Amino acid sequence: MSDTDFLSMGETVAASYVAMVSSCITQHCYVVVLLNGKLFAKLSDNFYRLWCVASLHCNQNDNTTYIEIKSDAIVAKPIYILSLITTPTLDGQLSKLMINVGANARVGVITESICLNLRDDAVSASTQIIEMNLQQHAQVDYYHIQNSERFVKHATHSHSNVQLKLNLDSSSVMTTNHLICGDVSAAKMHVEIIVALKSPGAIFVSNGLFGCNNQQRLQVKVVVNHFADHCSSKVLFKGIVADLAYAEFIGNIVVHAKAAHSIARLDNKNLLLHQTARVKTSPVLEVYADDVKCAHGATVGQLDESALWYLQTRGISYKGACEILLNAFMQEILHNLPLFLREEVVLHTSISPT
Amino acid sequence: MLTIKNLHAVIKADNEDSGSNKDQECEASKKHDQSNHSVYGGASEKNKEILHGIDLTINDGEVHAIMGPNGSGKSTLANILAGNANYQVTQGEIIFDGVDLLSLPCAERAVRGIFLAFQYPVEIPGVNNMYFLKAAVNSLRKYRQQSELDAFDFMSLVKAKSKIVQMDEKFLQREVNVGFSGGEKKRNEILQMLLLEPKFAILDETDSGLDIDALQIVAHGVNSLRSAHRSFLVVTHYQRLLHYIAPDYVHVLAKGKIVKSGGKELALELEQKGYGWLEQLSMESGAQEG
Repeated sequence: MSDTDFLSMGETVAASYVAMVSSCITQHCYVVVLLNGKLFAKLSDNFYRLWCVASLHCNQNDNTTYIEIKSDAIVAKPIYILSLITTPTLDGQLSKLMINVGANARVGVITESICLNLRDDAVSASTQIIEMNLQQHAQVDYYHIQNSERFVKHATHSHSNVQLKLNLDSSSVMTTNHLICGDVSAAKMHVEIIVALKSPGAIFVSNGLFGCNNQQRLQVKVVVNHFADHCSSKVLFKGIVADLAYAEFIGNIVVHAKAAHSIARLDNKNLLLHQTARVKTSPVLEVYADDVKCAHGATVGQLDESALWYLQTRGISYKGACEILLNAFMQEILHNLPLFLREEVVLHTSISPT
Repeated sequence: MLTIKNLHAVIKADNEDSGSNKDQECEASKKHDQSNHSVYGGASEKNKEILHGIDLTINDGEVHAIMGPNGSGKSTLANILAGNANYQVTQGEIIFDGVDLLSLPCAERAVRGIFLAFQYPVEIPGVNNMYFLKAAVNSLRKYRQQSELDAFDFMSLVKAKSKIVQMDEKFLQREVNVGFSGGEKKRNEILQMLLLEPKFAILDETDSGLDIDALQIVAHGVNSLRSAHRSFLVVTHYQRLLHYIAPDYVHVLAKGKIVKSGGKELALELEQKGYGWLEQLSMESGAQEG
């Protein structure tokens, strides 16, 4: 098959995946679909009301899409951006999404990226970069979903890298929620979140849930740079690792010399579901300023045996008991999600304690 | 009807806390017993036998009390009936309504009607109490092939039952047992019992840590369930609870064996004399066997 064949095949596949995006999401959000870094116009909603306050521009040459939210805009519904990569190459396909949020603007953004390998013969790699810049007093609720399993049921042997670069200007507020599920079977995934608090008064709150099973390898890296004073950041990532999977969490909060009066907190809690599952965690603080309030911590544990036994004595099966405890573990993160996302995303995972 | 025949059981070695006095006690009794019995079926060298042959029959509608000193195996017996994997039965059998109970997994025993009210109810952070109760009731209904209760029906059921144990509704919205006082935890146990309406309920030292009012409430909850089809095994140290929940039979467990059985007057006798004389009795009988 030639490259153009793959492209047209990609479009067909993309259309079928978009059809799988539930009506919940299409009801609650403005839907934008990017295929291999380009706007897939056929499937993207042409929302008149959205484009009153925002503009979208694609650069075909470097696979970059720009979305600009105008100053003082209040976007009524969150923008859901589905980014599909269907023709990854061996050397790594790059696609880039740049979102610029103007001063005082308020917006909700949901991005979901899926990497499909249509060429069964090769291991593929893809890199996606999502960059977001918040101007003064901008407020963004950002949800980042990385769960190919909810679309793809077969192994794709892909290595995917996702890089999020979040830059916050003075007094801007960003809350992010990340749901990261390892790719189906024998795949590697890297997710890197790099945050820069550039001017005084910026607030960054990040919650994340990551999970992997089978023989997946997953690395989640969160770097928060406090460049200016009076900024605060709070990061909590929870991980669930099952079967033979290996997950690595690298958290790093850097409080630079000028960033006095910073408040920072970094936590990572992990649950291992099987003896063979492994997790490595390193929550690191680097503080070069005086007069800061910083804390960090990490835990690794298993499902509580006594709680499992207690639930079973009440007639709940072992599997049911495991699920109850697993949900309890995830709840701390999931309760931040809007309801339509919670139901949409969480039910589509095969990570199971039994 | 529940029948226990010649039950021997060990605590699994990897679950022991070797530092405690209790285990040293067990160690001593094990050595003592090894001289009497040559073989322990299946138990490894390190496992400690706690029950040395229990025989007990509890008919429908009866309330049996098990009393005995610390470390005599009362809680072990309760845990084995409910299916705790930390204990291993090495000999003997338990038949519950014609079914070999030991062959059933813990959850299935529960849906078939075995209920254990815990001595130390487990705290489960992150799990809503109401959600937990509903899951328990619905797994029972599922087993009985009844339709699951919806949130509305369940709410009215649980409100009615929590009145019996005088439990504030706010506890239904909290996490399971998290931050509950001792009395609240025990009330929550009895609430679960009222909801699940078991056929055979085991109360494992439910009276420990309760004040007089809470004790009466708990006893009232238990008494409200007493019927000709339901039986109870009440494990306790003190006669006090038996004052409120009148037993049909009282058994005294010492060093893993039932050394004396009688009516409820036995409990009063124990209250006066203590357990010392019965332990003496058991050692004498052990010596005779040897």
